[in-house]
Amino acid sequence: MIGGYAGKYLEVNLTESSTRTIPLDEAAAKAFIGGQGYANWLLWKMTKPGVEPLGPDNLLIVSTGPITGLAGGTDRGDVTFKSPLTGLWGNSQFGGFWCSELKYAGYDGIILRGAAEKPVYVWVKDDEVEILDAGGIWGKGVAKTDQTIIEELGDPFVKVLCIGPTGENLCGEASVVQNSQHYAARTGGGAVMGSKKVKAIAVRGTKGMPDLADTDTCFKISEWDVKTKWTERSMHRRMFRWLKFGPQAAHVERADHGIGIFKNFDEGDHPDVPMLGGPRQLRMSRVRDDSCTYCPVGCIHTSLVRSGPMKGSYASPKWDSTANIAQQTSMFDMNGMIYCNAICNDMGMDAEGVGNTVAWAMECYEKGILTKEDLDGLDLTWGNIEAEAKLIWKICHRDGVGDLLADGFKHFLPKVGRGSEEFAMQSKGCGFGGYQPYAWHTFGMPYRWGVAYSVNDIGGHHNTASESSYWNNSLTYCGFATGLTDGEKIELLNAATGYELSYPEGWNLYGLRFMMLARAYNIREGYGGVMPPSKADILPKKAFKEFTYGAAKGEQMTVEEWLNGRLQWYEDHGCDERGVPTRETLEKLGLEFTIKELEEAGAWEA
Amino acid sequence: MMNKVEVEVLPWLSRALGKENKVRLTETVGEGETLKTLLEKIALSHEGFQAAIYDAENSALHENVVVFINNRSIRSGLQTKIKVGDRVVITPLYSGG
Repeated sequence: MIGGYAGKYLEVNLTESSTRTIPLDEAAAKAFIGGQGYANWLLWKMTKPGVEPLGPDNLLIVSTGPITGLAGGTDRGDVTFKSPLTGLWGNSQFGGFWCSELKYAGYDGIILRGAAEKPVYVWVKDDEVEILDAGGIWGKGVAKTDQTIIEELGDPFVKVLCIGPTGENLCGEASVVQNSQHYAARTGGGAVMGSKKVKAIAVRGTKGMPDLADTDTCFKISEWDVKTKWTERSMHRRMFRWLKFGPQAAHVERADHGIGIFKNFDEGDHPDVPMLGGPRQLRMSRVRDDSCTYCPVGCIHTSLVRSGPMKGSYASPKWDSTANIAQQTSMFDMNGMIYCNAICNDMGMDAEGVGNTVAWAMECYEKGILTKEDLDGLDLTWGNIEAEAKLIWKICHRDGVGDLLADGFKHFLPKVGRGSEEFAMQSKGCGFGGYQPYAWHTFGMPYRWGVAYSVNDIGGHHNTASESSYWNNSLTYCGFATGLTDGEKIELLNAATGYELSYPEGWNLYGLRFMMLARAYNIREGYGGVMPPSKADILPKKAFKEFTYGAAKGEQMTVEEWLNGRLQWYEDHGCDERGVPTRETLEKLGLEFTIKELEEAGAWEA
Repeated sequence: MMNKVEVEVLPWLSRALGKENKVRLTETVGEGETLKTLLEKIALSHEGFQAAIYDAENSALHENVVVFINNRSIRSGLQTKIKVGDRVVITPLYSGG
């Protein structure tokens, strides 16, 4: 077996209540590495075009890479599926402790297929696999689920990956959750897992890390990485000491840049933003700093509401999750932000995604498009904590108006209409992240965020539109708190596996391969019902507004600027002006196996 | 626009030019212009600009400064050639999540 890999995937067939192991395809592992890259290849190969996202033929693939479990920052997993939110490639990542444990149990990943009749959870202990009854935990929040399973199995070292009620209720923004703190949040993986009636996957691994090709070099580089995490080499270390003040430091930072997302992306700056910032959080509410496996950084800054009506709320606010549920909804209240974050966390809801929906609904309410009656009596004014919290709860439970909103933008926008599409801050059904579309992407991509949002293969999310992101998600490796350069990551991969990839040539080639496979998958699946891609890779009208306040004053991205940027992205990535990768690009990238199905899908028809 | 380039300096680097929000400049360029000579021109009439943007002694942009020229991030640093009609964007680096 190639160094670093466990050598097999576990496939669980919920319909037949059976399991089998699938050997790792070494040629595919060499071409797609692992994690996101390999999982995308599996999704292409193991599903037919046109599967229903919430049907039994969809797969949920949880995937690790050859360096997962090796060192701090490598406990990262990728969740891949066809998304119920967008109808496109569904994808998200998570950290924590589960992925190392899975590797040490002897698996590179787990595939869920089919659907159980009643709620179950999967229990993997090295080579022993059981499918157990989850009736007692169905309906429970993720914290109670975690705790109950660990107690039931009688082993404190068990790691749990689970869904909350949001996933059970098949909500489009449902997340897959590890240790109540780590969220494969975006695009509805939790709903896919819920459609299979799988509440959780519990793992315990005692075999240790698989053999490595060059152990000494692996440990040298890992040691170097630990040392660099706290130096100026680490991108996130450089910026305002993020890791001291937490991702919440970004609230003030973004406003200083003029690229915050206040009042549903109305303005990029706001005088009250320090109320949400990292320094205030540190003083008011931060109670502990957590890390993922082996990582010394402690970037998970858990917060507690210490007094008032929301006392006892406990969450680990991160940048985008709170930008979207606080900045975007004009909630300048630290306790309110933690409270709403805590609801999302325990219900297993994507806080970023639901924030997009709530802010849109607030603007609809302001404009009279949705009335109090439409909103089940909620006075959904900007910054109304109670109304926002209640609406989030309703969405998680498909209660009243929550049932309309639970499936996501693609599903409710056509039903509401009346011009509300113009300020639905999303693309292809997935809501934007915490950056204004006009802003420049300054960590890896020479485009504006608006270009990234529109071309992103999972829809409007801000990550996963760069080669570096795809690489991090395939290795797997945390791109957040590391001092390793991309070249050093390739060195670590080569040392683990015995591969001889080069930097930058190999890095760029493989990164583009990962990206174009995702784009090819989307085209095969009909691109969410809108072809060619250039008709779907679009932005709402509000993305082109002119800004009038503070650091953002005078900023505007014109349609022409965005179109030029998007065309540049298409060209840079070997696509034609319609956003379709050319046959030459696919062949050059070793993706010729996609061409026949893409032809059948009409990819290159005018 | 004869012999000119457009330069945008984005917040918060715009504070080096005395502004809280984006500053647009139009600068004259000549034969053999580089990013270094362009920035030096701007620095001549804006005290504090050079200190905020680049290290004159080592001839390098500060690590927290990112420059795009015609929507391309630059690779060769201050020696990057500038030509008439170029659009230069100078922005602070910010990290993501």
